[in-house]
Amino acid sequence: MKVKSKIFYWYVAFLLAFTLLLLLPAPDKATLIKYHLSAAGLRMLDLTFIVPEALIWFAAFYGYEKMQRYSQLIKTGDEGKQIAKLARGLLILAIGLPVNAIFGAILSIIAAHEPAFKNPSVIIGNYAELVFPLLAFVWISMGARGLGELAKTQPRLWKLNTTALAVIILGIAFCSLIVLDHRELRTTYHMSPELVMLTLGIPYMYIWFLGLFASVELQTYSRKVAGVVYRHGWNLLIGGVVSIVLLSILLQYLSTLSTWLTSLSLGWVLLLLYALLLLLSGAYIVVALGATRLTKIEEA
Amino acid sequence: MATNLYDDVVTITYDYLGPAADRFVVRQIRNHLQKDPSELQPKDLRQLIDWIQLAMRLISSDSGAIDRYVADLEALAQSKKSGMHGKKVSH
Repeated sequence: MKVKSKIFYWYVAFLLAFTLLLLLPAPDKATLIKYHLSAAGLRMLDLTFIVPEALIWFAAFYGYEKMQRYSQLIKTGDEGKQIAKLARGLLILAIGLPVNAIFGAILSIIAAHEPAFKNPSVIIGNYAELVFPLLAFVWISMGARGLGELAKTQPRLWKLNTTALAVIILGIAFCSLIVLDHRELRTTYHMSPELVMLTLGIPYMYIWFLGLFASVELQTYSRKVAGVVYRHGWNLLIGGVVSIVLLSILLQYLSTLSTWLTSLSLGWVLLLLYALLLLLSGAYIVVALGATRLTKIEEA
Repeated sequence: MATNLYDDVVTITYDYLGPAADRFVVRQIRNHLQKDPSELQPKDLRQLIDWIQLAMRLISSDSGAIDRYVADLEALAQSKKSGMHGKKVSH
């Protein structure tokens, strides 16, 4: 990421805002008691959270910037317009990471000062987390569909069936959690199970469908795309995009299992979270590598 | 359908650079030969192949693919050369 680029300044601004919001307010006493931590210990824990967040945001912005640069180079070509849609999807996902983290920190601060706002803050936070993936996956699916139409490729029937089955399984498991464990989920979501299913379950299932279907379409296009040397870069780029989509779905799904997550020890929760964030960072770096290789072709 | 030399070069390049082939060949011709792609002549091929080879070494480390690409272009140059000789003989 170039120091002079606008996206770099956005990254620095987001990081500063997040760090200040996390470190300036007094530590939450309930958290200190729950995890048996001192105030200094919680600050150290906050720092260990800020560093990986900073890294993943950087990787996300870096991956987007490289892909955007590539799409600008080929914007006059037919596939350029579709790559630009994929890049826009990645931008929304990348911006969603810091914006949701900052928004969550602001909601937590307000809730800490105004206990009556605690439940509404959870509800607002849950809906806010839905917005960015929804918009991003709409753009990514539009780009994937556009590429498929250009190459006149269609995913095979068994792949479509598998995608539909995966969304059904994810959806049924999600709804089962709401129905079977609704008392826990009511305390988690602070809404009735019916409302959770209608206003969170359905949008999430739609997002998962868009993401999985776009992944299948992108992989189908990649199999058909010509060019021995071009494919080296292209496969990295699309492999990265598909990994980002799949890991984002996994993270969204795990966030719906927060009841199960809170039953784990802090160490396991952090380990799971860091592992997924590390993988997501890796996927953005793979996008950047692929876009860099393709950019070289366009600049040679 | 008859194709011009530029189309032949793009067709060969497509196997290596896929959707980027057309843009790549146009840039090599315009930037290094200072010509419009439609004005490409068989006598320009030698120079064009040298520039393409140089550019490909910067793009990729897959020397096997680059060698095959250059060999395909050399074969095209050879066929055009013999074609020109053929025309001269027929005159």
